[in-house]
Amino acid sequence: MAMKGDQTHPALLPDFLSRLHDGDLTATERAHFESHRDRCGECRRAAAEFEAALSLFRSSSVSPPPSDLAARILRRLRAAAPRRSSFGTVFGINLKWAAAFTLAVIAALVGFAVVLEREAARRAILRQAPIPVALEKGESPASAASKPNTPDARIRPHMQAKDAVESRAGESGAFAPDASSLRQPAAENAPPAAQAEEQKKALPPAREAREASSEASDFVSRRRRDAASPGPARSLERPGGEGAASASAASAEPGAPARLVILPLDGGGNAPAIVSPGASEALSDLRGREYFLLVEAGGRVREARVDGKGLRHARPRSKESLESSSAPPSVRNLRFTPGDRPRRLLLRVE
Amino acid sequence: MSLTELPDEELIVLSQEGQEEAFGEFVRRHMETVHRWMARAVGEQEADDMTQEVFVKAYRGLSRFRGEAPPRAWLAAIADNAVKNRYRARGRFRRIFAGSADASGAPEPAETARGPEEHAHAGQVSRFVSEALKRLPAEFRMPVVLRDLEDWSYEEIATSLDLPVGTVKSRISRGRGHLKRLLAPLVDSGKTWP
Repeated sequence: MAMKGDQTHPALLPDFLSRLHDGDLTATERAHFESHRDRCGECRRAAAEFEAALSLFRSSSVSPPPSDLAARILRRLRAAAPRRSSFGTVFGINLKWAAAFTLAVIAALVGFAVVLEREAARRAILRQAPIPVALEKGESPASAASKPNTPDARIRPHMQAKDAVESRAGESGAFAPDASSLRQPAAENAPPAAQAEEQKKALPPAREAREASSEASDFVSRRRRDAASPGPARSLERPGGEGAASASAASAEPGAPARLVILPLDGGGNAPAIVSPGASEALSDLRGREYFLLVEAGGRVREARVDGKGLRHARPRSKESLESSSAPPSVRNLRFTPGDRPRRLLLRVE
Repeated sequence: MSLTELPDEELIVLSQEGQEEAFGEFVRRHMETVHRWMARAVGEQEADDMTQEVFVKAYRGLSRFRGEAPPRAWLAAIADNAVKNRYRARGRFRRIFAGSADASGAPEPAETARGPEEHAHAGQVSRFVSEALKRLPAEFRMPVVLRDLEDWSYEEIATSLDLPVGTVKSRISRGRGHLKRLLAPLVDSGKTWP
Protein backbone atom coordinates (compact mmCIF):
# COMPACT_ATOMS: atom_id res chain seq x y z
CA MET A 1 0.00 0.00 0.00
CA ALA A 2 1.45 3.33 -1.03
CA MET A 3 1.80 6.05 1.56
CA LYS A 4 -0.86 8.68 1.45
CA GLY A 5 -0.18 12.39 1.25
CA ASP A 6 3.31 13.67 1.58
CA GLN A 7 5.57 10.95 0.26
CA THR A 8 8.61 12.84 1.51
CA HIS A 9 7.46 13.45 5.12
CA PRO A 10 4.68 10.99 5.95
CA ALA A 11 4.87 11.74 9.67
CA LEU A 12 3.37 15.12 9.02
CA LEU A 13 0.02 13.43 8.33
CA PRO A 14 -2.11 12.67 11.40
CA ASP A 15 -3.75 9.75 9.64
CA PHE A 16 -0.39 8.14 8.99
CA LEU A 17 0.77 8.70 12.54
CA SER A 18 -2.51 7.32 13.87
CA ARG A 19 -2.15 4.20 11.76
CA LEU A 20 1.45 3.95 12.88
CA HIS A 21 0.33 4.21 16.49
CA ASP A 22 -2.35 1.56 16.05
CA GLY A 23 0.00 -0.74 14.15
CA ASP A 24 -2.16 -0.66 11.08
CA LEU A 25 0.70 0.02 8.63
CA THR A 26 1.61 -2.70 6.26
CA ALA A 27 5.05 -4.17 6.48
CA THR A 28 6.13 -2.29 3.35
CA GLU A 29 4.80 1.03 4.69
CA ARG A 30 6.45 0.48 8.00
CA ALA A 31 9.83 -0.44 6.45
CA HIS A 32 9.70 2.56 4.14
CA PHE A 33 8.83 4.91 7.00
CA GLU A 34 11.54 3.57 9.30
CA SER A 35 14.17 4.04 6.67
CA HIS A 36 12.89 7.54 6.05
CA ARG A 37 12.71 8.41 9.75
CA ASP A 38 16.34 7.47 10.19
CA ARG A 39 17.22 10.05 7.61
CA CYS A 40 14.52 12.73 8.35
CA GLY A 41 14.73 14.59 11.62
CA GLU A 42 11.39 16.36 11.02
CA CYS A 43 9.50 13.12 10.67
CA ARG A 44 11.38 11.63 13.59
CA ARG A 45 10.42 14.56 15.78
CA ALA A 46 6.80 14.58 14.59
CA ALA A 47 6.37 10.91 15.31
CA ALA A 48 7.96 11.31 18.73
CA GLU A 49 5.73 14.27 19.64
CA PHE A 50 2.70 12.35 18.50
CA GLU A 51 3.52 9.40 20.72
CA ALA A 52 4.42 11.69 23.60
CA ALA A 53 1.14 13.57 23.33
CA LEU A 54 -0.86 10.35 23.37
CA SER A 55 1.22 9.11 26.26
CA LEU A 56 0.51 12.27 28.20
CA PHE A 57 -3.13 11.96 27.32
CA ARG A 58 -3.24 8.39 28.59
CA SER A 59 -1.23 9.09 31.69
CA SER A 60 -3.24 12.01 32.86
CA SER A 61 -5.35 10.97 35.75
CA VAL A 62 -8.81 12.06 36.69
CA SER A 63 -10.36 12.26 40.09
CA PRO A 64 -12.71 9.46 41.05
CA PRO A 65 -16.40 10.31 41.21
CA PRO A 66 -17.80 11.58 44.49
CA SER A 67 -19.01 8.84 46.78
CA ASP A 68 -22.56 10.15 46.74
CA LEU A 69 -22.78 10.58 42.99
CA ALA A 70 -24.74 7.37 42.53
CA ALA A 71 -27.24 8.43 45.17
CA ARG A 72 -27.54 11.85 43.58
CA ILE A 73 -28.14 10.28 40.19
CA LEU A 74 -30.84 8.00 41.59
CA ARG A 75 -32.50 10.91 43.37
CA ARG A 76 -32.47 12.89 40.14
CA LEU A 77 -33.90 9.92 38.29
CA ARG A 78 -36.77 9.69 40.75
CA ALA A 79 -37.35 13.42 40.50
CA ALA A 80 -37.18 13.38 36.71
CA ALA A 81 -39.36 10.32 36.30
CA PRO A 82 -41.62 9.71 39.29
CA ARG A 83 -42.36 6.15 40.11
CA ARG A 84 -44.97 4.73 37.84
CA SER A 85 -47.54 3.54 40.27
CA SER A 86 -49.84 0.76 39.37
CA PHE A 87 -53.37 1.59 38.42
CA GLY A 88 -55.37 2.54 41.39
CA THR A 89 -53.16 5.06 43.15
CA VAL A 90 -52.64 8.62 42.00
CA PHE A 91 -51.53 11.33 44.37
CA GLY A 92 -52.05 8.85 47.16
CA ILE A 93 -55.67 8.29 46.20
CA ASN A 94 -56.83 4.78 45.49
CA LEU A 95 -58.63 5.11 42.20
CA LYS A 96 -60.72 2.01 42.81
CA TRP A 97 -62.21 3.42 45.96
CA ALA A 98 -62.51 6.83 44.38
CA ALA A 99 -64.42 5.32 41.46
CA ALA A 100 -66.70 3.40 43.81
CA PHE A 101 -67.36 6.53 45.83
CA THR A 102 -68.07 8.50 42.68
CA LEU A 103 -70.51 5.87 41.47
CA ALA A 104 -72.24 5.87 44.84
CA VAL A 105 -72.61 9.64 44.74
CA ILE A 106 -73.96 9.50 41.20
CA ALA A 107 -76.41 6.76 42.17
CA ALA A 108 -77.56 8.79 45.17
CA LEU A 109 -78.07 11.88 43.02
CA VAL A 110 -80.00 9.93 40.38
CA GLY A 111 -82.10 8.23 43.03
CA PHE A 112 -82.84 11.54 44.71
CA ALA A 113 -83.85 13.03 41.37
CA VAL A 114 -86.17 10.09 40.70
CA VAL A 115 -87.75 10.43 44.13
CA LEU A 116 -88.24 14.14 43.59
CA GLU A 117 -89.80 13.51 40.20
CA ARG A 118 -92.18 10.94 41.59
CA GLU A 119 -93.09 13.22 44.45
CA ALA A 120 -93.77 16.04 42.00
CA ALA A 121 -95.94 13.73 39.91
CA ARG A 122 -97.83 12.58 43.01
CA ARG A 123 -98.47 16.17 44.01
CA ALA A 124 -99.61 17.01 40.50
CA ILE A 125 -102.08 14.13 40.64
CA LEU A 126 -103.31 15.28 44.02
CA ARG A 127 -103.80 18.77 42.65
CA GLN A 128 -105.93 17.40 39.84
CA ALA A 129 -107.99 15.18 42.13
CA PRO A 130 -111.52 16.35 43.01
CA ILE A 131 -111.65 18.46 46.09
CA PRO A 132 -114.67 18.34 48.33
CA VAL A 133 -115.31 22.02 48.39
CA ALA A 134 -118.43 24.01 47.81
CA LEU A 135 -118.80 25.97 44.60
CA GLU A 136 -121.12 28.70 43.71
CA LYS A 137 -124.08 27.99 41.54
CA GLY A 138 -123.30 26.52 38.16
CA GLU A 139 -119.58 26.79 38.65
CA SER A 140 -117.75 23.83 37.24
CA PRO A 141 -114.69 22.49 39.00
CA ALA A 142 -112.58 23.40 35.99
CA SER A 143 -113.71 26.98 35.94
CA ALA A 144 -113.37 27.20 39.67
CA ALA A 145 -109.82 25.96 39.48
CA SER A 146 -109.06 28.46 36.76
CA LYS A 147 -110.34 31.30 38.90
CA PRO A 148 -109.22 30.41 42.35
CA ASN A 149 -109.25 33.97 43.63
CA THR A 150 -112.65 35.03 42.37
CA PRO A 151 -115.18 35.47 45.09
CA ASP A 152 -117.71 33.17 43.38
CA ALA A 153 -115.39 30.26 43.17
CA ARG A 154 -113.48 30.78 46.33
CA ILE A 155 -112.13 27.66 47.86
CA ARG A 156 -111.65 27.72 51.56
CA PRO A 157 -109.47 24.77 52.27
CA HIS A 158 -108.02 26.17 55.41
CA MET A 159 -111.24 27.07 57.12
CA GLN A 160 -111.73 25.58 60.44
CA ALA A 161 -114.41 22.94 60.47
CA LYS A 162 -117.10 24.98 62.10
CA ASP A 163 -116.65 28.02 59.95
CA ALA A 164 -116.43 25.96 56.80
CA VAL A 165 -119.58 24.02 57.49
CA GLU A 166 -121.56 27.08 58.46
CA SER A 167 -120.30 29.03 55.55
CA ARG A 168 -121.25 26.39 53.04
CA ALA A 169 -124.57 25.79 54.58
CA GLY A 170 -125.33 29.44 54.20
CA GLU A 171 -123.99 29.91 50.73
CA SER A 172 -124.98 26.89 48.71
CA GLY A 173 -126.75 24.43 50.83
CA ALA A 174 -124.18 21.89 49.86
CA PHE A 175 -121.42 20.92 52.15
CA ALA A 176 -118.87 18.31 52.93
CA PRO A 177 -120.12 15.79 55.46
CA ASP A 178 -117.00 15.94 57.61
CA ALA A 179 -114.89 18.84 58.60
CA SER A 180 -111.71 16.84 58.24
CA SER A 181 -112.52 16.16 54.62
CA LEU A 182 -112.47 19.86 54.01
CA ARG A 183 -109.16 20.45 55.56
CA GLN A 184 -106.89 17.71 54.41
CA PRO A 185 -107.26 17.73 50.61
CA ALA A 186 -107.20 21.46 50.46
CA ALA A 187 -104.09 21.54 52.51
CA GLU A 188 -102.43 19.30 49.97
CA ASN A 189 -103.40 21.72 47.24
CA ALA A 190 -101.85 24.67 48.93
CA PRO A 191 -98.47 25.82 47.68
CA PRO A 192 -95.65 23.95 49.45
CA ALA A 193 -94.32 27.11 51.06
CA ALA A 194 -97.69 28.23 52.24
CA GLN A 195 -98.84 24.74 53.05
CA ALA A 196 -97.15 24.58 56.40
CA GLU A 197 -98.50 27.99 57.29
CA GLU A 198 -101.97 27.06 56.11
CA GLN A 199 -101.88 23.84 58.06
CA LYS A 200 -100.64 25.68 61.06
CA LYS A 201 -103.58 28.08 60.77
CA ALA A 202 -106.08 25.39 59.82
CA LEU A 203 -105.23 22.94 62.51
CA PRO A 204 -106.76 24.08 65.75
CA PRO A 205 -105.75 22.64 69.04
CA ALA A 206 -107.07 19.14 69.62
CA ARG A 207 -109.90 20.30 71.82
CA GLU A 208 -111.09 22.86 69.30
CA ALA A 209 -110.86 20.30 66.55
CA ARG A 210 -113.01 17.87 68.48
CA GLU A 211 -115.59 20.57 69.18
CA ALA A 212 -115.59 21.66 65.58
CA SER A 213 -116.03 18.10 64.38
CA SER A 214 -118.88 17.57 66.81
CA GLU A 215 -120.63 20.71 65.68
CA ALA A 216 -120.17 19.73 62.08
CA SER A 217 -121.74 16.34 62.73
CA ASP A 218 -124.71 17.98 64.40
CA PHE A 219 -125.10 20.29 61.46
CA VAL A 220 -125.04 17.38 59.02
CA SER A 221 -127.77 15.70 60.95
CA ARG A 222 -129.85 18.87 60.89
CA ARG A 223 -129.31 19.23 57.15
CA ARG A 224 -130.43 15.69 56.51
CA ARG A 225 -133.60 16.25 58.53
CA ASP A 226 -134.31 19.43 56.63
CA ALA A 227 -133.82 17.75 53.29
CA ALA A 228 -136.12 14.88 54.20
CA SER A 229 -138.96 17.18 55.20
CA PRO A 230 -141.17 18.81 52.52
CA GLY A 231 -140.44 22.42 51.87
CA PRO A 232 -139.72 24.97 49.21
CA ALA A 233 -137.44 24.00 46.35
CA ARG A 234 -134.64 26.00 47.70
CA SER A 235 -132.18 23.69 46.14
CA LEU A 236 -133.50 24.55 42.71
CA GLU A 237 -130.79 26.02 40.55
CA ARG A 238 -128.38 25.38 43.34
CA PRO A 239 -125.96 22.71 42.25
CA GLY A 240 -124.14 21.30 45.17
CA GLY A 241 -121.60 18.72 46.15
CA GLU A 242 -121.93 15.03 45.89
CA GLY A 243 -122.72 14.69 49.55
CA ALA A 244 -125.66 17.02 49.23
CA ALA A 245 -126.99 15.17 46.19
CA SER A 246 -126.84 11.79 47.82
CA ALA A 247 -128.36 13.06 51.02
CA SER A 248 -131.31 14.76 49.36
CA ALA A 249 -131.99 11.92 46.88
CA ALA A 250 -132.01 9.28 49.56
CA SER A 251 -134.41 11.06 51.86
CA ALA A 252 -136.91 12.63 49.37
CA GLU A 253 -140.58 11.67 49.51
CA PRO A 254 -142.68 10.94 46.38
CA GLY A 255 -144.44 14.06 45.08
CA ALA A 256 -142.16 16.47 46.82
CA PRO A 257 -140.39 19.02 44.61
CA ALA A 258 -137.17 17.70 43.28
CA ARG A 259 -133.89 19.40 43.72
CA LEU A 260 -132.40 20.13 40.33
CA VAL A 261 -128.68 20.34 40.10
CA ILE A 262 -127.27 21.75 36.88
CA LEU A 263 -123.63 21.35 36.08
CA PRO A 264 -121.94 22.76 32.99
CA LEU A 265 -120.12 20.14 30.95
CA ASP A 266 -118.55 22.45 28.40
CA GLY A 267 -116.42 24.50 30.77
CA GLY A 268 -118.14 27.56 29.52
CA GLY A 269 -118.75 29.13 32.88
CA ASN A 270 -121.79 29.22 35.09
CA ALA A 271 -124.68 27.05 34.09
CA PRO A 272 -127.82 28.83 32.98
CA ALA A 273 -130.73 28.72 35.36
CA ILE A 274 -134.00 26.93 34.72
CA VAL A 275 -136.77 29.37 34.03
CA SER A 276 -139.54 26.83 33.45
CA PRO A 277 -142.19 27.26 36.15
CA GLY A 278 -142.91 24.19 38.24
CA ALA A 279 -139.87 22.33 36.97
CA SER A 280 -139.04 20.95 40.39
CA GLU A 281 -142.48 19.47 40.78
CA ALA A 282 -142.60 18.21 37.19
CA LEU A 283 -139.36 16.35 37.57
CA SER A 284 -140.00 15.01 41.03
CA ASP A 285 -140.67 11.56 39.62
CA LEU A 286 -137.20 11.47 38.10
CA ARG A 287 -135.25 11.64 41.31
CA GLY A 288 -131.91 9.96 41.18
CA ARG A 289 -131.59 10.33 37.42
CA GLU A 290 -129.20 12.40 35.38
CA TYR A 291 -129.64 13.79 31.91
CA PHE A 292 -127.25 15.23 29.47
CA LEU A 293 -128.67 18.30 27.85
CA LEU A 294 -127.74 20.29 24.79
CA VAL A 295 -129.31 23.67 25.33
CA GLU A 296 -129.61 26.20 22.53
CA ALA A 297 -128.47 29.74 23.02
CA GLY A 298 -132.08 30.76 23.33
CA GLY A 299 -132.55 28.49 26.32
CA ARG A 300 -134.50 25.73 24.62
CA VAL A 301 -133.39 22.12 25.04
CA ARG A 302 -132.24 20.89 21.70
CA GLU A 303 -131.34 17.41 22.84
CA ALA A 304 -131.63 15.47 26.06
CA ARG A 305 -130.15 12.04 26.61
CA VAL A 306 -129.53 9.74 29.49
CA ASP A 307 -125.99 9.30 28.22
CA GLY A 308 -123.56 11.84 26.92
CA LYS A 309 -123.20 10.42 23.43
CA GLY A 310 -123.78 12.87 20.67
CA LEU A 311 -123.55 15.88 22.92
CA ARG A 312 -119.90 16.47 22.43
CA HIS A 313 -120.50 18.61 19.42
CA ALA A 314 -123.19 21.21 19.60
CA ARG A 315 -124.54 20.66 16.13
CA PRO A 316 -128.18 20.11 15.33
CA ARG A 317 -129.45 16.55 15.21
CA SER A 318 -132.28 15.15 13.23
CA LYS A 319 -135.79 15.13 14.52
CA GLU A 320 -135.74 11.36 14.72
CA SER A 321 -132.67 11.50 16.76
CA LEU A 322 -134.18 14.00 19.09
CA GLU A 323 -137.33 11.93 19.46
CA SER A 324 -135.37 8.77 20.09
CA SER A 325 -133.85 10.38 23.10
CA SER A 326 -134.81 8.51 26.20
CA ALA A 327 -135.28 11.73 28.17
CA PRO A 328 -138.93 12.31 29.04
CA PRO A 329 -140.77 15.34 27.67
CA SER A 330 -140.65 17.05 31.04
CA VAL A 331 -136.90 17.25 30.60
CA ARG A 332 -136.93 18.12 26.92
CA ASN A 333 -139.39 20.92 27.57
CA LEU A 334 -137.26 22.66 30.15
CA ARG A 335 -136.33 26.25 29.44
CA PHE A 336 -133.14 27.89 30.55
CA THR A 337 -132.02 31.46 30.70
CA PRO A 338 -130.82 32.53 27.26
CA GLY A 339 -127.15 32.79 26.61
CA ASP A 340 -124.79 33.69 23.83
CA ARG A 341 -124.01 30.15 22.75
CA PRO A 342 -125.32 26.57 23.09
CA ARG A 343 -124.46 24.83 26.30
CA ARG A 344 -123.88 21.26 27.32
CA LEU A 345 -125.25 20.63 30.77
CA LEU A 346 -125.77 17.85 33.21
CA LEU A 347 -129.12 17.85 34.93
CA ARG A 348 -129.25 15.88 38.13
CA VAL A 349 -132.63 15.36 39.70
CA GLU A 350 -132.41 14.92 43.45
CA MET B 1 -30.01 -14.35 41.60
CA SER B 2 -29.31 -10.86 42.88
CA LEU B 3 -29.17 -7.86 40.62
CA THR B 4 -25.41 -7.53 41.04
CA GLU B 5 -24.96 -10.87 39.33
CA LEU B 6 -27.11 -10.07 36.33
CA PRO B 7 -25.51 -8.98 33.05
CA ASP B 8 -26.13 -5.48 31.75
CA GLU B 9 -28.62 -6.70 29.18
CA GLU B 10 -30.90 -8.26 31.78
CA LEU B 11 -30.66 -5.19 33.98
CA ILE B 12 -31.86 -3.09 31.10
CA VAL B 13 -34.72 -5.49 30.38
CA LEU B 14 -35.79 -5.38 34.02
CA SER B 15 -35.51 -1.61 33.96
CA GLN B 16 -37.72 -1.48 30.91
CA GLU B 17 -40.27 -3.53 32.88
CA GLY B 18 -40.32 -0.87 35.55
CA GLN B 19 -37.88 -2.20 38.12
CA GLU B 20 -36.07 0.88 39.26
CA GLU B 21 -33.74 -1.23 41.40
CA ALA B 22 -32.35 -2.85 38.26
CA PHE B 23 -31.57 0.52 36.71
CA GLY B 24 -30.05 1.58 40.02
CA GLU B 25 -27.70 -1.35 39.81
CA PHE B 26 -26.90 -0.41 36.21
CA VAL B 27 -26.09 3.12 37.38
CA ARG B 28 -23.84 1.89 40.17
CA ARG B 29 -22.08 -0.46 37.80
CA HIS B 30 -21.26 2.11 35.12
CA MET B 31 -21.27 5.35 37.02
CA GLU B 32 -17.50 5.45 37.51
CA THR B 33 -16.81 4.72 33.87
CA VAL B 34 -19.20 7.37 32.61
CA HIS B 35 -17.78 9.84 35.08
CA ARG B 36 -14.30 9.15 33.76
CA TRP B 37 -15.48 9.66 30.20
CA MET B 38 -17.06 12.92 31.13
CA ALA B 39 -14.01 14.07 33.09
CA ARG B 40 -11.90 13.47 29.97
CA ALA B 41 -14.39 14.88 27.53
CA VAL B 42 -15.63 17.98 29.32
CA GLY B 43 -13.39 18.33 32.36
CA GLU B 44 -13.72 17.31 35.93
CA GLN B 45 -15.65 20.38 36.93
CA GLU B 46 -18.57 19.38 34.80
CA ALA B 47 -18.11 15.65 35.03
CA ASP B 48 -20.61 15.17 37.86
CA ASP B 49 -23.40 17.05 36.15
CA MET B 50 -22.70 15.42 32.81
CA THR B 51 -22.68 11.97 34.37
CA GLN B 52 -26.07 12.60 35.90
CA GLU B 53 -27.33 13.90 32.59
CA VAL B 54 -26.16 10.79 30.78
CA PHE B 55 -27.98 8.45 33.14
CA VAL B 56 -31.15 10.54 33.15
CA LYS B 57 -31.18 10.45 29.36
CA ALA B 58 -30.53 6.74 29.44
CA TYR B 59 -33.43 6.21 31.83
CA ARG B 60 -35.75 8.26 29.69
CA GLY B 61 -34.60 6.39 26.59
CA LEU B 62 -34.98 2.91 28.05
CA SER B 63 -37.84 2.12 25.71
CA ARG B 64 -35.64 2.86 22.70
CA PHE B 65 -32.93 0.41 23.68
CA ARG B 66 -33.30 -2.61 21.37
CA GLY B 67 -30.30 -4.62 22.51
CA GLU B 68 -28.58 -4.31 19.14
CA ALA B 69 -25.46 -3.00 20.85
CA PRO B 70 -24.02 -3.68 24.30
CA PRO B 71 -25.50 -1.43 27.01
CA ARG B 72 -22.06 0.05 27.52
CA ALA B 73 -21.97 1.16 23.87
CA TRP B 74 -25.48 2.55 24.26
CA LEU B 75 -24.26 4.60 27.21
CA ALA B 76 -21.29 5.82 25.18
CA ALA B 77 -23.60 7.02 22.43
CA ILE B 78 -25.67 8.91 24.95
CA ALA B 79 -22.50 10.39 26.42
CA ASP B 80 -21.27 11.39 22.97
CA ASN B 81 -24.53 13.21 22.24
CA ALA B 82 -24.44 14.88 25.63
CA VAL B 83 -20.91 16.14 25.00
CA LYS B 84 -21.83 17.46 21.57
CA ASN B 85 -24.90 19.19 22.95
CA ARG B 86 -22.91 20.70 25.78
CA TYR B 87 -20.26 22.12 23.48
CA ARG B 88 -22.80 23.21 20.95
CA ALA B 89 -24.37 25.31 23.65
CA ARG B 90 -20.99 26.50 24.81
CA GLY B 91 -20.11 27.50 21.24
CA ARG B 92 -23.29 29.56 21.05
CA PHE B 93 -22.39 31.13 24.37
CA ARG B 94 -18.95 32.07 23.10
CA ARG B 95 -20.31 33.45 19.87
CA ILE B 96 -22.73 35.62 21.81
CA PHE B 97 -20.21 36.84 24.34
CA ALA B 98 -17.32 37.88 22.13
CA GLY B 99 -13.91 37.83 23.73
CA SER B 100 -14.29 34.42 25.29
CA ALA B 101 -11.59 31.89 24.66
CA ASP B 102 -11.70 30.27 21.28
CA ALA B 103 -12.04 26.53 21.23
CA SER B 104 -9.93 26.15 18.13
CA GLY B 105 -6.79 27.66 19.52
CA ALA B 106 -4.12 26.48 21.85
CA PRO B 107 -4.76 26.10 25.58
CA GLU B 108 -5.62 29.15 27.62
CA PRO B 109 -2.97 31.91 27.35
CA ALA B 110 -2.81 32.02 31.11
CA GLU B 111 -2.06 28.34 31.17
CA THR B 112 0.59 28.55 28.47
CA ALA B 113 2.12 31.64 30.00
CA ARG B 114 2.91 29.69 33.10
CA GLY B 115 5.33 27.54 31.14
CA PRO B 116 5.82 23.84 31.38
CA GLU B 117 7.75 24.09 34.59
CA GLU B 118 4.58 24.92 36.43
CA HIS B 119 3.03 21.73 35.14
CA ALA B 120 5.81 19.52 36.27
CA HIS B 121 3.87 17.35 38.58
CA ALA B 122 1.06 15.02 37.59
CA GLY B 123 -1.73 17.19 38.79
CA GLN B 124 -0.56 19.99 36.64
CA VAL B 125 -0.19 17.67 33.67
CA SER B 126 -3.69 16.45 34.18
CA ARG B 127 -5.06 19.97 34.31
CA PHE B 128 -3.14 20.88 31.18
CA VAL B 129 -4.44 17.81 29.38
CA SER B 130 -7.92 18.62 30.56
CA GLU B 131 -7.63 22.15 29.25
CA ALA B 132 -6.32 20.85 25.96
CA LEU B 133 -9.20 18.40 25.69
CA LYS B 134 -11.67 21.20 26.11
CA ARG B 135 -10.38 22.61 22.87
CA LEU B 136 -10.82 19.40 21.02
CA PRO B 137 -13.77 19.49 18.62
CA ALA B 138 -16.74 17.77 20.21
CA GLU B 139 -17.16 15.14 17.52
CA PHE B 140 -13.61 13.89 18.17
CA ARG B 141 -13.84 13.65 21.93
CA MET B 142 -15.73 10.48 22.64
CA PRO B 143 -14.06 8.49 19.85
CA VAL B 144 -10.62 9.50 21.13
CA VAL B 145 -11.57 8.88 24.74
CA LEU B 146 -13.04 5.49 23.97
CA ARG B 147 -10.09 4.47 21.82
CA ASP B 148 -7.09 5.86 23.67
CA LEU B 149 -8.39 5.85 27.24
CA GLU B 150 -10.86 3.00 27.30
CA ASP B 151 -9.10 0.85 24.69
CA TRP B 152 -12.25 0.15 22.74
CA SER B 153 -11.85 -1.32 19.30
CA TYR B 154 -12.79 0.68 16.24
CA GLU B 155 -15.65 -1.69 15.62
CA GLU B 156 -17.05 -1.21 19.11
CA ILE B 157 -16.85 2.53 18.77
CA ALA B 158 -18.46 2.41 15.34
CA THR B 159 -21.31 0.28 16.70
CA SER B 160 -21.73 2.48 19.73
CA LEU B 161 -21.78 5.76 17.86
CA ASP B 162 -23.63 4.28 14.91
CA LEU B 163 -20.89 5.36 12.52
CA PRO B 164 -18.96 3.56 9.82
CA VAL B 165 -15.62 2.20 10.96
CA GLY B 166 -13.82 4.37 8.42
CA THR B 167 -15.48 7.47 9.82
CA VAL B 168 -14.50 6.45 13.30
CA LYS B 169 -10.89 5.92 12.25
CA SER B 170 -10.85 9.27 10.51
CA ARG B 171 -12.26 11.08 13.51
CA ILE B 172 -9.81 9.41 15.85
CA SER B 173 -6.81 10.18 13.70
CA ARG B 174 -7.88 13.81 13.33
CA GLY B 175 -8.58 14.01 17.03
CA ARG B 176 -5.14 12.67 17.80
CA GLY B 177 -3.65 15.28 15.49
CA HIS B 178 -5.48 18.00 17.41
CA LEU B 179 -4.21 16.58 20.67
CA LYS B 180 -0.66 16.55 19.37
CA ARG B 181 -0.87 20.22 18.60
CA LEU B 182 -2.65 21.10 21.79
CA LEU B 183 -0.23 19.17 23.95
CA ALA B 184 2.89 20.20 22.06
CA PRO B 185 3.93 22.81 24.66
CA LEU B 186 3.71 20.23 27.39
CA VAL B 187 5.56 17.66 25.28
CA ASP B 188 8.33 20.11 24.49
CA SER B 189 8.73 21.09 28.13
CA GLY B 190 8.71 17.47 29.12
CA LYS B 191 12.03 17.02 27.46
CA THR B 192 13.49 19.10 30.22
CA TRP B 193 11.44 17.59 33.04
CA PRO B 194 13.45 16.13 35.81
